[in-house]
Amino acid sequence: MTVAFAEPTEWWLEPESAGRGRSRQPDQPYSTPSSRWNAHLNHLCLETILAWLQSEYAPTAAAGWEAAARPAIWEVVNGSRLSLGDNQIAIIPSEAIDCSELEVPQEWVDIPSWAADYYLAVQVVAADGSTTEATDADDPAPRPRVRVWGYASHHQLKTAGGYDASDRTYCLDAQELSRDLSTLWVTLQFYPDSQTRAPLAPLPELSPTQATQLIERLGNPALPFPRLAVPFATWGALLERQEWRQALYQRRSQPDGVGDRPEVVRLSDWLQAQVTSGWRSLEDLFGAPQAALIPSLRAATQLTPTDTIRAKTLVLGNAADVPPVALVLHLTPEADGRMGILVQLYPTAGDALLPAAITLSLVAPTGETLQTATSQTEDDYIQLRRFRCPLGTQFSLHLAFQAHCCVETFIV
Amino acid sequence: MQARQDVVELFSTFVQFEANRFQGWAADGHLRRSMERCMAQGWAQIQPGADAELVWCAYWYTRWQMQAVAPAEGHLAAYLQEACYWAAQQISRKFASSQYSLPDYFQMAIADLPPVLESFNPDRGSTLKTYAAIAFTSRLRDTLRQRQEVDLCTPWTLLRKVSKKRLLESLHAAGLTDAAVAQYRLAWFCFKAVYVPDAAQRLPKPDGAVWEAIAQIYNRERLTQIPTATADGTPAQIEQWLTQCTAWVRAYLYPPVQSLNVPRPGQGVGDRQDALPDEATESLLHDLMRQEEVAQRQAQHSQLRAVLMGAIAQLDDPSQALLRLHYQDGLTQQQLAKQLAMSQATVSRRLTRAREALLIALVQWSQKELNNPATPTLIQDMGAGLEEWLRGHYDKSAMRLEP
Repeated sequence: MTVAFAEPTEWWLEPESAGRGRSRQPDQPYSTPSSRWNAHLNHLCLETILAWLQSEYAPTAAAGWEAAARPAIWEVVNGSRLSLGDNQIAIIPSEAIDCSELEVPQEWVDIPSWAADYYLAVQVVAADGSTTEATDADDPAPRPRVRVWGYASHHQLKTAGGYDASDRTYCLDAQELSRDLSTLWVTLQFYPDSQTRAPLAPLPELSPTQATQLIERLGNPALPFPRLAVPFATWGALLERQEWRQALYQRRSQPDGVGDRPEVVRLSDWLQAQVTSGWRSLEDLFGAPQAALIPSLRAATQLTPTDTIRAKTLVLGNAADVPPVALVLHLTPEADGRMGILVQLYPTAGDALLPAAITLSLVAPTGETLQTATSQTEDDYIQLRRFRCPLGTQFSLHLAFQAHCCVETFIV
Repeated sequence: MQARQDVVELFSTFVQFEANRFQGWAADGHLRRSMERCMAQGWAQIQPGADAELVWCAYWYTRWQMQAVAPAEGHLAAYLQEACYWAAQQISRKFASSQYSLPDYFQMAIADLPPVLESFNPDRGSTLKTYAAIAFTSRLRDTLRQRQEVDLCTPWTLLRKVSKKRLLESLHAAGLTDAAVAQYRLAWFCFKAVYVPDAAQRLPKPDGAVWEAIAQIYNRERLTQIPTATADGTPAQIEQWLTQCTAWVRAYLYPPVQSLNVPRPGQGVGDRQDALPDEATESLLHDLMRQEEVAQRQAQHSQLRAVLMGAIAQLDDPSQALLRLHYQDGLTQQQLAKQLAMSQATVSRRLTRAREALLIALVQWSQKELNNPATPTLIQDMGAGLEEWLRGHYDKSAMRLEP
């Protein structure tokens, strides 16, 4: 049995029995079985190590994030963090048998508010020695062990560790790790203020529009490695903000969430008078007399009487103080077979003006922003420059207001 | 086993096994001539009263650190035969195995010589021999733990549980080109993203759908992750690559125990003149060796002993008993739990806390008596020193290794 190899220089911890107490992970949605498994391992390690530290060393030890905020992290990255007095301790689980290195995802090292003072190398070992071996459903699940076998400081990772650009991890050879866990606690006691960190460069600031676009693009659950899909500085800046991280998680984990996941709207259907759910004529949406009362809308309608016009009410966030807006598309089939498209944004019935600083952008499937319009304090509507594109072209329209965002995707 | 006494023999002979038992010492001609030549020329200056064995050990260790000439590692390998034998004996007693014999353990241990030499720190107070005996034992234990876990793995669970470092080492050891390594690595990366335990934490054999999904991600990711243009991988190809990986990983993690008759460092190479040290190297060496420091270290060692003996006496009886049983009788934590009717978790906790109490005593002593503020690095050194001291203190057979 594997436990026979336990040494007093390491911590071999026994999680509370499965299904009971706090080792049980609350059911949370994840985009893939891989994220779910990652969350399972991290939850097991965090709770087990936290319970051990609280009972043996520091009753005030606390997890870095509330339980409800953790799935957004584990959906995309391995690891977690806890605090012990003024020191931050990162927990990096692994299933690797060979324990030949500590592999820390870059997020835990280079995002300033995520970085830790010390990093624990943790192996999840099943009682029968094999973490994930198939067992009979009737058998009680074999109880895994959480083996903490070494640690390193932030400074060590940054200076002695190698950076692997292809999976964005800092790797430190097992030989370089401190292998005696007793020294960690003694160091924390005698040297709580010792210099553990290497200097970090700040991450860039993202605008809400950029964040919205990133969330839209990286929120696709078919994208298996969102953390590798954009430059690290951009990814780190997105992940660091709680509301963006949460939005990304929701987008990835609940693609069928109510009003959250955009259907791709086929514009050519509208020319054949087919109905797309949520999209209505102006009269339907505003009520005939109301539509006539909006001067700019009337002007636009009169200017292009042959256009097919559809509008949709969009709610940016749930807060009562964010008024709904109407997204309006004018379609004009061109002689060369292309489609002319005019995009406008109006306040909905009853509101004379758009809220200031609402942003409307046209975004290509590559994520590139092609056009943007932003409302000023006195705008009753905004619009993008009219554009033409061949059949089959895909694009999306992004709306951003404060921390809220919303995306509609179309195919011509 | 019959321990060696003669200095030339100490640095030039190797253990011979016969039917899994110690049979005798076999001389390596090249190392023997190298040793005789160095002694004749008086390269290591042995002051009156100094222990010739320790001086030659320090000489070859310093030479090895400088990487000046080739035979140093061979001489140290010869010198550490007893330490290695002791480690193999410890392990074979502790983990009775039908799979491995004493010579197997011996062979596994001596294969780890370079990292053991690298991690030795003379400032911690123990001799290279004692240190190596402990380091060989703990590395053997680690190897066995890994092998036991590997044995329980199916090919596919093994791929999930190999570290990136080992995978890459296996691929390089298999002689793949960098381009091929990048391909296999990405396929493995995608495999780990797709092939995970299900909600009931079970891991059924990968089926067609799994390979299909892996191939899909691979073909998408390769565009950005493998800059050199490669063709798409079909599900069948991906399956074949990963099957190949499992074989390489297993072969690498689990190398067949080599025959004892393979050439050792320095053997069969013939007389190489370049192996002879020159005058410049020698004067540098003498600066490095500083024999007087050895005496100073020994004095500190006895002070340390007094501190630790006092700290052990302060521990409660069950903790003292645990330390004794663990370090002296070599019981595993499981055996301890059974003998003391405690849970293994309790044993582990008490042992850890007892060691910590000793470490704290050391740190406080260093602060108070030596007026030496313990830095984190020093605390780590003390931790390692403590482990060596505990093994040496409790285990009398380890003490016998001391010259």
